[in-house]
Amino acid sequence: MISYENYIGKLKESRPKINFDQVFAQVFHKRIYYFPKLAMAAALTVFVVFLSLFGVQSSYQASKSDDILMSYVFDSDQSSGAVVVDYVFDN
Amino acid sequence: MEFTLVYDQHKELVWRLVSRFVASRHDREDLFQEVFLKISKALPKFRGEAKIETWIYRIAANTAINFVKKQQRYSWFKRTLEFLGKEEAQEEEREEEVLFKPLAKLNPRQRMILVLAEVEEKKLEEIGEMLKVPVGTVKSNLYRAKEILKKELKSYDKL
Repeated sequence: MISYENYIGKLKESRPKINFDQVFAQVFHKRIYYFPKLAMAAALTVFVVFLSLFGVQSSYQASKSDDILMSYVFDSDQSSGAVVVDYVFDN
Repeated sequence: MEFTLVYDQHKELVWRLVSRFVASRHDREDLFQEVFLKISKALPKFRGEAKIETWIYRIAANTAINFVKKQQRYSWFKRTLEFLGKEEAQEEEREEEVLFKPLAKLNPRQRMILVLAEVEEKKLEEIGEMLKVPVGTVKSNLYRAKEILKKELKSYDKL
């Protein structure tokens, strides 16, 4: 059996080693790239909103320019060659 | 106050505390880093209401308590990882880990209060201020921690 006092004494004596310079470099590195969770969540939200707005905008643009040219209507009576009189779009 | 200066002046203090609070070398270094990351984040807001040493102890103690709570929550996951990948610990490391086994019987707050009071030899009032709890709570936790530890130590022949 180990006495309580003896155990506390052993804890006091324990001196684990550490390379302070190496750990400082790691802490410093993490500090630079450290992004608080809240800021990260905000940045992510802005990104998602931006992405969805961009998606809506581009789908709107796409729907506006959905008129794909399918064929031309020529006037066959013209003697000086075919003249386009109308266009047929796929919309 | 500059972070580098705070680190240089208080690294020993933080290391002493965390190395008497968690068992494995890996955990100690993780915890030590976490404490200084928090200090660096909170330093611009430090207005000097408390002594810087008390302020650092407060951050270190609370970070350490939360660190162990988190570890306990995911202990099954950690054990699995250790089982899958960890190499055999060095003899010296194993001895240190054995030394901390009895402390593992205490909950994180009891453990911190015991380490601060008995190993770091801090006054109960100081501990109360660090952990932001009444002195009565410190006293009762310390009493309970000593009882648990004494009972636990009965099953050890040597450490």
